[in-house]
Amino acid sequence: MLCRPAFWLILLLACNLFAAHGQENLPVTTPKGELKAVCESADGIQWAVTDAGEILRSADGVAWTVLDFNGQYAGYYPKMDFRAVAAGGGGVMVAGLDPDGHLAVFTSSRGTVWSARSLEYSQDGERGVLDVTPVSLSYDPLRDSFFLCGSGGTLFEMPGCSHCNRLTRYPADTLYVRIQAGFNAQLLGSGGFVIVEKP
Amino acid sequence: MHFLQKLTLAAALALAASVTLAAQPAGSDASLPIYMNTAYSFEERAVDLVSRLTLEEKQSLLGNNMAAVPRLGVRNYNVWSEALHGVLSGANPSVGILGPTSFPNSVAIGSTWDPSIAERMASAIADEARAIFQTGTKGLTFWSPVVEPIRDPRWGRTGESYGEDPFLAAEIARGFVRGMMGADAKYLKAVPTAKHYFANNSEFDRHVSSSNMDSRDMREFYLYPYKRLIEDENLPSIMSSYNAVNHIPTTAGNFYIDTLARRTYGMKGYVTGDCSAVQDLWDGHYYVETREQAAAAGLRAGVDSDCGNIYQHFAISAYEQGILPMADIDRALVHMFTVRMRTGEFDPEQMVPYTKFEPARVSSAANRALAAEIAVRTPVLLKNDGKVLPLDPKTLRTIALIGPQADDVELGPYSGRPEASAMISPYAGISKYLKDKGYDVDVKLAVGANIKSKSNLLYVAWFEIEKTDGSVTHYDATKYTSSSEGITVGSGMGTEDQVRTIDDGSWTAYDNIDITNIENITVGLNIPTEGGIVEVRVGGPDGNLIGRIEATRASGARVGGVYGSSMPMKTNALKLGYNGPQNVYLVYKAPTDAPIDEETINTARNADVAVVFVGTDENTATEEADRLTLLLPGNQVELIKAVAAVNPRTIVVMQTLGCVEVEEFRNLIPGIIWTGYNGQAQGEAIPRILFGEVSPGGKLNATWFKSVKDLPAITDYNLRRSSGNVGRTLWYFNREVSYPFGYGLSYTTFQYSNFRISQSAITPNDKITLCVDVTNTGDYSADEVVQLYVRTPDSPASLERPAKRLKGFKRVTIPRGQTRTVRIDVNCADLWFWDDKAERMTFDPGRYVFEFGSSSQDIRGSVSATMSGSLKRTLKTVWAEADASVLRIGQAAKATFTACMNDDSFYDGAKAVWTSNNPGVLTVSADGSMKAVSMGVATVTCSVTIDGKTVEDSFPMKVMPNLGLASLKVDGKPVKLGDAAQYSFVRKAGKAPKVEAVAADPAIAVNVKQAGSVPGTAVVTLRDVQTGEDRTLTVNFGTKGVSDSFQKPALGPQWSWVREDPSRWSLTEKPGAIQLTTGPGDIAQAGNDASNILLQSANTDWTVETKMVCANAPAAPAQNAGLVAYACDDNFVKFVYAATFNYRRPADAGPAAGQLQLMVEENGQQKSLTSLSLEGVAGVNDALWLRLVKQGDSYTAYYSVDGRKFEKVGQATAVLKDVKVGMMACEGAMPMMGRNAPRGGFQLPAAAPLKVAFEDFKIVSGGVK
Repeated sequence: MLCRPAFWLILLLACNLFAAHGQENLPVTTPKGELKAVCESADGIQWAVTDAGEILRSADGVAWTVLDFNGQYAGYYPKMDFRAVAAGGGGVMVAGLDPDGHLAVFTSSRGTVWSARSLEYSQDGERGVLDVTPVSLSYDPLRDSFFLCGSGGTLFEMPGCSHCNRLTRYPADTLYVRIQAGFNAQLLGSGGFVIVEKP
Repeated sequence: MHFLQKLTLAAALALAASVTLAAQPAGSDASLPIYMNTAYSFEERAVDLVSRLTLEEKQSLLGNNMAAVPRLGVRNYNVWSEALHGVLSGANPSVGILGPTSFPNSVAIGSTWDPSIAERMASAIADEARAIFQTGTKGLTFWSPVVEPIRDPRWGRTGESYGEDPFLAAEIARGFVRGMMGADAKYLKAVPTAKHYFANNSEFDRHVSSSNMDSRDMREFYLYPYKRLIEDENLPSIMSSYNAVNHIPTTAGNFYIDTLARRTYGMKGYVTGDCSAVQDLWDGHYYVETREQAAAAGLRAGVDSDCGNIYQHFAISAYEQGILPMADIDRALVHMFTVRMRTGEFDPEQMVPYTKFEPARVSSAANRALAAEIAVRTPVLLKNDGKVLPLDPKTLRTIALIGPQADDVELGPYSGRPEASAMISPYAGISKYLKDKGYDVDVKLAVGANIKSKSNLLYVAWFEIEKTDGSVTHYDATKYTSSSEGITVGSGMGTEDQVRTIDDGSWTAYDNIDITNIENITVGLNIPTEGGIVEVRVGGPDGNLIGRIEATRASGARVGGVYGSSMPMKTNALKLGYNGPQNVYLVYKAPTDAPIDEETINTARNADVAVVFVGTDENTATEEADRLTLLLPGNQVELIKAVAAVNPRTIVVMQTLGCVEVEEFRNLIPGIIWTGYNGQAQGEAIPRILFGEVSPGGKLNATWFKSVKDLPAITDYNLRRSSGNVGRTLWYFNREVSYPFGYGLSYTTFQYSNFRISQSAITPNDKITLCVDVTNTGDYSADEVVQLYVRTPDSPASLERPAKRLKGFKRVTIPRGQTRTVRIDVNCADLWFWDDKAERMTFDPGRYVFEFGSSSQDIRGSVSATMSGSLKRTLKTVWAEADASVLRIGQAAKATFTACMNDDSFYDGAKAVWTSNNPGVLTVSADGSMKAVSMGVATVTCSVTIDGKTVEDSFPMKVMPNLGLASLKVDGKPVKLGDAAQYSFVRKAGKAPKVEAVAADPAIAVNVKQAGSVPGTAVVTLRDVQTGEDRTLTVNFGTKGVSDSFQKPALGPQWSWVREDPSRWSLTEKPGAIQLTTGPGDIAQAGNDASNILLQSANTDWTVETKMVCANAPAAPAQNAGLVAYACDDNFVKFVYAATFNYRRPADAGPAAGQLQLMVEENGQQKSLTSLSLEGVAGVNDALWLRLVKQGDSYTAYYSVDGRKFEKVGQATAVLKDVKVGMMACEGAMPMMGRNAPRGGFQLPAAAPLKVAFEDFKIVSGGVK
């Protein structure tokens, strides 16, 4: 999802101030990085990510907890510049770039423990590992899959089975977003690219 | 999070290391946490690690993407890797790794009939795997080999299997497993996983189907390879399959995984589900109703890891719902971490012999040479008329290499990406061979044909009719009215149902489709392989054509693959003037092949010899896609016939996944060679065979049937002949075949003589040796595979024993003119059959004829022995386990065991001797009762002796700090501690007393949230800072309750309402009682909308009693009325008289007798429900006395019909804060069924509201003295 960082940062700061005054025992911290993406799951949990490798979570949009992913996983996962987040199907997924500019994707169920998602795929008998710049993530409840949109006209479907990933490339330099519309999905990309995918 | 913020990571690690042990292993380093301490066993270390995990960490480790846990030094780990015939990976230049070696695929390895080849190959693969593992990019657990015997050649994964006979499959697999695991006594080089357990023998419906069989076929055929691998090679892992067996999904099959694989065969290791197999329990088989239930079912059955996201997203909620015990989660993780530890992952590098594998191991010269060596040993010579082979290059001027595989390297399924320089096509290999040998032979190449599959053309999901006015009508293609034979509907790994198994000429029909003014037709389809043509016709499959769509890869249409979902393809419609509804047909055709071109024919005609390279590829059949035909795909048969017509010296080299039909061409050509997918060096190997440097020595690993029409339905898993089934495999198939199992010729000839057996009278307890002398009577040194088959001609015909079974083989190299004595050892215990009535192995008495053959039908001689006696039953497998892996100090658990005999039956009444290697930590008594004494780990061993033979089994246990209190004080006065989670005090309203608490163990953090006032509740939380596990105790302060006989015209001040509805209660309608009338809603589940809950503060212990008179019996579907102990809508204890409604089975649907229910809801989830039917006990206008007794966290319910004699209904536990108690009456909520239902109930209208009069409300308050 495309973001408006300044707006969200101000909102977050305002929420933190309110929370600090009004409630006790809440680990409220101001994120260090710039907000890059925000989403809300069907059960009302909101998530956001920053380019400093932070993952933010809120149950009410007022009080936010900030997970320093790069700090917590230093030496275990690469240091991340997160670009996208989506939630659904009992899980949440974040995507970003490591210091070498390679794509990495992580998943969690409740937001405190994160697993690396395999990006291997098979296409026309050839196996590969996805490595694009992510622009957005979304969750499709009908297909119970996460979708990553990114550079190279990439649409990458990640279902529950981690090596059943499916790559489709569209004729756009960058695919921006996949928007669910009932059973159909609308894909928007650079250069005015628009296509409706039917199930 | 709050408590973790109070402790630094250093403190946590210090605590991790400072485990006080009653006894430590000698030489152990006490500064290390147990899980890092190599002085402990892998199992002890694994359980120690698991005990330190938080609940969310545990969940995140239950999937195949195991999360990193930095605070414990655990790196992330991907459980999934494949190594069927080479590591499934590609080059990684950034870490210096080349593309891994791609050896011949399993079907080719099976045709070598040489387990030592499989072992050497697997060892080389494991070496490369280790080198890749060092780079941190892959794990060491590999989901290979495939050990299912080839029951049906149409099975899409035939190319991954070793053979048709389970003995052959088992022997080759044993070699593979040994090679992967390595020879070190302690560490595993790599971890193989045998799959797919079991009977996954058709692809198209495996996510939803059931493989049905009797226990004879199950034990003798489908399970046999697993039994051998587990018992003989200590196989460390299996994968549960997608399919059900006898209607129970294997992934939820406790009998299959626990009883058979573990307790019968003795598998120690981990079980993974196939990818999304756990999810299939929910939305494939509909075996469970929720994803939480799927998680619980899989883990309870013993599937430790989920290749999917059900465990990783829903295990916690399953645990919170009370359907998944922590013991099952812990056990699964202990299995996973034990196997990771067995690879040396947690040990110092210098201790592990496999950590020094440099990147250069991958695609090394040695491994490339091995791939080439094996590729020479796989080919099977099927025909050699007139000794057309081997070819003599000295006599050749021109050789024509023709066919789509002549200049191609087809590796087959589950292939990595080897280095391009290692991939040698036949054309490249032959050209180089002739040149290197100095032969001046002109090598001509012509493709001439295509390999495009003409079956399994398309998956079709929907179609749309667009009219000239722009209106569009969408139709579900899977809802056809009729279809051609063989059409199926499925979604495979996807979520979209599609028409599948579409063959050339298939059709689906749709009645009443309005095509008036039709403009366009759009079809939503997917191209799994090559694609096909969709013709839209009216009136019949040959009716008028109104539209045509070319959905082929060749036309540029997007290929979705077997996992793909549909995409729209549109065509303009032919306007033939149809009006109104019509019967529309979608007719599916394979693209028409062009005739074989003249250039190819001329190339063949003008050559001295034409070698035609044909075969199959991954588009012919693969995972998720069975073959529908056994014909060579594309127009390859036409190519063979065309070439044979112009060149009498035509040799066909076929490289396929298995059997293909050959009757159409085999009599037209003098020479045929077959290989399975022969790896990267296939082009290097074939010239050595063609030109006689090496004589082919392979043998077919499966029967080659004359026609697919000879086969029973692929969905029929029965092996024996019965109505409609001709019988399967060499065991039972009794028709003529093209080539029998074990068939293969040689450039030389072999003579068998001097057949002998070590003894002619045998019992099941004997080991015998059979010998034969084999003489090479021809002109070439060559390999021969001596095959040993066993028949039991004296077995009763009614038992339908196999015609013969393979029970031994040996591949030997015999130089020309020489003789070798071939010895084959047979363990007579392996000649068993399964007695499905006695549920154990049995041995038929009488003659056992041992046939020595060059194939299953080319029997060169035989010897016989007479079997008598019975198998001496000895103890084989002891399996011991406990109902928990992790205990807290003071807790108890029970250990149990089973004892399985060598005939695979269980022994009842065995006695066990239990010991603990660390009784200072955990004691175990003679009956298996265990008590946790102090922090640490212990191994509990169960020793069973039967008839002088002792077998042991053991399991690890971890004891954690006690989550209890050392002291509890209220206003400075000590409280006597018990087991309850709640202490209640009667106090006057006002300021709340101060509560102080001290934990029993210094490793536990304590937090007290004081009560705000009286009434009020203080909350004491004890937290294990390592795992985050906490235990909550509450201290309730309340005032005395006030009884009420409802004589006054108004309610007393002690009462308050939740959601009062004045129209539904009255103190005057029935004097001396408060009458409630049921209204819609309930508080059970997510309803939370019942009105008129009448409550008074009761935050103490108490006994409450009321006399309740119902005007009618509670009516369906869910009316209920009675007492409630209430904290909030999501936390309460209800004791009610309720209607019940049978909704599970239609035959039972309808109202049932009323019942008393004692229900506890915690945090919105029903925690427990006890019910007691009142049929014949209470009826209309009868009074019921309800009594509810609260003591601490215990609620006990009683009822009486006369107010004097009370019967107990049940007891429940609940920790409620700020408790109120009172009465309610409501219409109630009925649970929604079905996997898509939200949590919570829904309302159905009752017959009429129920009036309930509560004539008395007595409360006696109490508490801690």
